[in-house]
Amino acid sequence: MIKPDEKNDASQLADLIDKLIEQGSGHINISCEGEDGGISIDTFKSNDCSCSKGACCQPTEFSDEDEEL
Amino acid sequence: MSNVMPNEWKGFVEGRWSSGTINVRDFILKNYTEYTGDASFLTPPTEATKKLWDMVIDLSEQERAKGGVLDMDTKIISTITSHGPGYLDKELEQIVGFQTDKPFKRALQPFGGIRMAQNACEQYGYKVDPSVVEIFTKYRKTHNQGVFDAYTPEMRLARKSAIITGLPDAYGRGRIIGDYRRVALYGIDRLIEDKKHQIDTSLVRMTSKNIRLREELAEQVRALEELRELGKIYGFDISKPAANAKEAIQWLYFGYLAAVKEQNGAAMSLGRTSTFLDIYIERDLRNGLITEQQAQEYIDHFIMKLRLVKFARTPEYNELFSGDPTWVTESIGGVSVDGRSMVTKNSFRYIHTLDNLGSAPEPNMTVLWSVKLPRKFKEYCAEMSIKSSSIQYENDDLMRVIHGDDYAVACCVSSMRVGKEMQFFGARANLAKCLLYAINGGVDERLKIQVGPRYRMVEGDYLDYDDVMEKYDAMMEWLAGLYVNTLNVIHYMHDKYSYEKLQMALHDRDVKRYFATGIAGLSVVADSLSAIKYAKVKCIRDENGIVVDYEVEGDFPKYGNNDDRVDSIAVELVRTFMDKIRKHHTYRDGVPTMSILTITSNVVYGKKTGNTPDGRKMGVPLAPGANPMHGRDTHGAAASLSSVAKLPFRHAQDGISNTFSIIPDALGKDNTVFMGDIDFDALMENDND
Repeated sequence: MIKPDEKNDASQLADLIDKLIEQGSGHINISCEGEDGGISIDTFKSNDCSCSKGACCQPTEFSDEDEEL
Repeated sequence: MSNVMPNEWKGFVEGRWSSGTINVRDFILKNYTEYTGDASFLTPPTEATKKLWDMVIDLSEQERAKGGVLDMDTKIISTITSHGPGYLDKELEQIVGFQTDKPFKRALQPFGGIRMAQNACEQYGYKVDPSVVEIFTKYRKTHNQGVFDAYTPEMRLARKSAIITGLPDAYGRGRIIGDYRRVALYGIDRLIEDKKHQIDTSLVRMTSKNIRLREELAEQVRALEELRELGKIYGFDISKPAANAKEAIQWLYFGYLAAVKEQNGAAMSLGRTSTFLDIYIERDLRNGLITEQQAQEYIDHFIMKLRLVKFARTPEYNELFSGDPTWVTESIGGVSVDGRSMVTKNSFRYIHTLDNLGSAPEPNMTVLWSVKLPRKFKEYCAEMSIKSSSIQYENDDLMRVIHGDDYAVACCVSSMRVGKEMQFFGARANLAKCLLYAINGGVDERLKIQVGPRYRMVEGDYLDYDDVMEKYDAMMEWLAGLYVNTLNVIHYMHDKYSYEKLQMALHDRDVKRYFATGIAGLSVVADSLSAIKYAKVKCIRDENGIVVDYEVEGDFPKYGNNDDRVDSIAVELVRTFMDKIRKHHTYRDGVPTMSILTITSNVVYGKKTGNTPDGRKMGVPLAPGANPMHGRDTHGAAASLSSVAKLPFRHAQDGISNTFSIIPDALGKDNTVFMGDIDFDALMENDND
């Protein structure tokens, strides 16, 4: 069960996402962390990997051939 | 195909899907039940779920205690049928199947590259069996070996210097979503029948293109036969369509499991399955065959399995991610082209696993958000976002226009129609480094060697805007060509030596291929060019005459402040580079797309990019995606968004990223939400801010 104030937060956040989508945001990530009793929210407005662990961050893997250079 | 509806389809509305063609979308649109209610119907985890999840937690702790890997297979090469059945607790599990014969045991997947498989094992104290190494060095070529056979010296240098980086040349490329729903709806026998028909109707004039297609289709049939065998290993006959909800989930999961047994791809996404499965659940609920609690238990156990997908990763991965993300992306919701929301009760059940099993990054729950989604679902998603930080959102209103209503997201944001489109993943070209090459005539500022073409270096103490732009244009021309050709090599070899036969077996014959490309360092370049144009930038040369640092005299407009003087430079860069990409032949006539990215990789790119004319120092991360450089967007989030909004989506169809923060100490305390340093309520009143 969520607390009444969380309901209010959810409603506001839904409005926020709606607005961002209406404005043409492609991609939104939301993370929340407790902060002195409040909530910190990060959103990523993008149409691409912007989550901190995005798969598009796939690394170059170095092989022996590469090390020869 | 018989015209009689199989018993397994009893109760479903007929359509094109049931009259001879493979058409999951038609099945969904004719049969799904839109849900506009709230989350009050959801049920807590069952005792079986809790016991199983406790076992997972315990194994996770053991894995962490062992340094990140609990067990690795070093001898058996992973294929669809390579391992016997594996269970957490066979009696409790409603949905079964692991990549190997036990949970948390990572598979050996050397087809992408044997050295990478060895590196991954050695990273955790394991050693690949010598006989396997011998086979994959003497007798069976890998994707990685093929790529390096074909790479030119220039391509190798570009890779080493990191002007092109993130190349999928060592293992699976990912970004392909099999339509795993087909396994449940049609059963393997029907899918094989369809594939054989595709072979029979394929061209017989033996051009290399047609030979390849026929061979691939034959491979696909073989993969489906193996998938049927995988079902038998776990005691199921998946040759026929799934007869109920539990079977539908299990059949579908077997399809996905076969894919991850076969491919170690970066981003092995699941697709768009929740509304499809809801049709089966609704039928069973309607017929009194299951309860809501059982339905949730099936989904909980299914999601639990997705959370336990694991790959053997290399040190480079660990350096970047401190873990082993798999990006099992599931797309939820969206709106159909006839205007109905595609939210079902099962959309809620999937997200409810974040409560029943706790928060987790996998599977990557992605809500296809439309302003037309039911309000109660929107609020539930938002509530779960606040609680779990585990949901991402995609703009369905934007994507639906391009892909219709049966697309899904691969990886984080790459959208494609399920079973009809796929993407060749495209790595990144570092435009900031390219600018430095333009200034130094192709000499790498860090390695001090000639990497790019030996063009004329800049002369004089101060950079001249027109001179730099002329040189930069020529260097981008070179980079675009080299970049596309490098990717062509990679994708040719991946198809040849590590073909995704199971995933492609769950596609139509004639798929549309996207050829993804990406750029990094956009804001650094925009700011650098702005500094050159509007301030004075003095060159600092080393003893060899290479420009290695810059002194900026005066101020200049910075990207991210809604200032057209510099924003227009960024827009022009995107357009120019994409136009240069488009000039080149792409493998299998892939449609080029471009993205502008990303946070983590920009840290890596920054380490490999020297001092830049905007005053950024070597090693400092490039700003994430299209973002302004940290601290330079002095006019707030709205101005930052406005700058990014000017970037042309047409030239960056695969994505534009921008990051900003909401810092709402007011959340939960009053009715005002703040976004960065502006009042969001005020912003909402003005769409154009």
